[in-house]
Amino acid sequence: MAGIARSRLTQERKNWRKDHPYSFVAKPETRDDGSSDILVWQCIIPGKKGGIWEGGFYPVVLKFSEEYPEKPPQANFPQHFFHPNVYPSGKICLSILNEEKGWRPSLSVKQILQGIQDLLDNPNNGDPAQEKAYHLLLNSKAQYELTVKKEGLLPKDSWYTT
Amino acid sequence: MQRLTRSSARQREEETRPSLPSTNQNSSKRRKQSTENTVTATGNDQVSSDKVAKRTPEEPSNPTTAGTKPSASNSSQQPEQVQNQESDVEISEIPESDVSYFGYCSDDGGEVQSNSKVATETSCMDEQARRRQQQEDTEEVAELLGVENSVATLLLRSVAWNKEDLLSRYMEDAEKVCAAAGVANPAAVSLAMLSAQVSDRECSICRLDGPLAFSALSCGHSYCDCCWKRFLSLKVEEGETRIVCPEPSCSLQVPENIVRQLCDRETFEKYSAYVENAFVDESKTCVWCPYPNCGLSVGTTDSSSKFIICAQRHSFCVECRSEAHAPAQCDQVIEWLKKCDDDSETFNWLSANTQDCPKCQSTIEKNGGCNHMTCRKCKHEFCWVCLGLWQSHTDYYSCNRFDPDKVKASEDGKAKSRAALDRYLHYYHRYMNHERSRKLEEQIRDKAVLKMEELQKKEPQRLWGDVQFVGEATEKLCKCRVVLKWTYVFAHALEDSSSQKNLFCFLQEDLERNTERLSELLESEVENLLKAEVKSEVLALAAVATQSRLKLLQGVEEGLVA
Repeated sequence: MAGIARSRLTQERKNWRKDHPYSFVAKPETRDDGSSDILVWQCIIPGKKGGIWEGGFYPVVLKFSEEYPEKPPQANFPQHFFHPNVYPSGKICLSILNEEKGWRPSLSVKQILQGIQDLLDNPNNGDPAQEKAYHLLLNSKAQYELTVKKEGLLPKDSWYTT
Repeated sequence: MQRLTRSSARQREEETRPSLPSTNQNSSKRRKQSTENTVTATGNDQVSSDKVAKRTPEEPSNPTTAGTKPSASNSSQQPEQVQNQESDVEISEIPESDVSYFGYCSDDGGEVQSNSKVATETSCMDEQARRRQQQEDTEEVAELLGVENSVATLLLRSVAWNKEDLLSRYMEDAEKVCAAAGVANPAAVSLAMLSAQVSDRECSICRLDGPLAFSALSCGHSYCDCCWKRFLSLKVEEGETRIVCPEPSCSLQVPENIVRQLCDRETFEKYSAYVENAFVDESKTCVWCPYPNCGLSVGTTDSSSKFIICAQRHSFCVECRSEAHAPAQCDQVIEWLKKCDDDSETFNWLSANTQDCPKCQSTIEKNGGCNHMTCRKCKHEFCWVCLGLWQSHTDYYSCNRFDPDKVKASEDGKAKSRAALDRYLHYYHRYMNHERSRKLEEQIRDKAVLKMEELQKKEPQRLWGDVQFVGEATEKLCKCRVVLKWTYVFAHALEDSSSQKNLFCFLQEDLERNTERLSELLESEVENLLKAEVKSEVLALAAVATQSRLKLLQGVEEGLVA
């Protein structure tokens, strides 16, 4: 069966340009030759207002397969990103990104990115993906927040320009 | 119509249950009377109950089932009832062999009376009966709750196919049951699928604009039919049998009929096969036969014993899924098979017969009398007795570095592991021997039966029963063999020279002797077997051996107290 990944993603891109949440960035990767790869999206998620992640801008790469939207994309922060639900490889562990759990084909890129933004402030300690953030959150909340500010909170420019 | 067919099935079931304990007798009579009201033409098609040796009392049918099965069709029109009579006769004409699966067949044909639980293996519900039961349960629930069959299936699956449980829970809190099963609330259930609507709006999966044909479950989350089809096909391809609505956080499950409507035939067939298999996986009353390439399912509820037989006559243990292993216990079997499988006994042998090279740790077996060893691998030269460097020995043929304590300790260790090895091998050889004998006897039996059939063709005046006894006797012989095989596993686990072991060995000896006698006789030439006196001897010996087998099993069950 012919996949609809590309047409759906083209549509997603169109919808995103029409309307997207404030300070979010999401766009297909540009290859060296200037063409764009619709299956890989470079995104930036701002920390939520009022939360400990506020003020930071966090880069996420969404990788879609040809089986999208039946299968979820893979979402990655940079390697060693400090968060209990992010693997050392940067892979984000989130139910809506898990085919067996919460993934549904109708979830939009916007919903995915907002879901990740939500995860930043609401870590799920029942499903840890890295040791450092997990233990800090478990044992010392103050230390955890400090590390978020120190490691996580980087100025927008230090990631990559949008 | 469906309902009456069902009640006739129930009646049939009741007739196959001759010896209910007194507590259940009354209620079953009552039930029988009530079914007689609806079905009349059953008087002369009683299922023979000879085949049914005994049956455990079935739990009384759920009160809600009885209560909500109203007399709606009692007052139904006459013509329908005539039809029912026809269909009833049709059902009761199902071959007896088929019916007997529903019943409870003692494997020993009722010939030997025994109350032993381990002694009997029971053959239970087979494939056909399972499908039929699945169908019946689904239809009954569908009718009682006024939902479609496919919705009833979803409801049943959410409670592991426990119909009674479902109905009583449903009566308590229908909303909750529906939510757990992923079906819409009862009022809307019958509208499981909104009819396809053509609309101009965007489909939230492919994000294409209309005009597209949209469909939705009763939750109203609609997607274009192409997306539905692709979504369902992919899920089916992955073997998923619980497909939920594509809407985020909607937990409504897609019923079977939707898959049929939206997918091609091939996909739907695949899906319904998966769902059918899911019945066995989910239901607590069914298991898959663990024999390689068997793939049959067997019901377990009719069985009082943990050993059951599938329709292919593979007998197995429901708990540990290995061969029926009476008198050995499941844990003994698991431990034994592991012991046979892994290298632990090889290790015992190695430690009793070999030493490791002190330099490269290669395992070395001594192949000559001389104690001057040279490791073939690293060429290290050492003394077999003290494991020291050979160069340090001044006198070639006697080891002057002899440390009596050290040597004694290692000798003790060796003797111990050698004894354990010998003990294990004693039981293992006998265990394997009975297994081998059984295989050979099965071959001999097959040959004998073939030859008998030939003979019978030549001399048609011979009755079938005159030749059939060989097959039956060998069947009994094989049963003894299997039990004998496992007695050695059981004995291996018993403490040596305990009183239990003595008694057990006595019973084992008895069984072994009778089994061997029977085996010897059955191996004689076919012409010999056809003699009347030989036949009666075979029959007598088979009965004696079976008796010994049951005595042994019963003895073990009673804890081996004299």
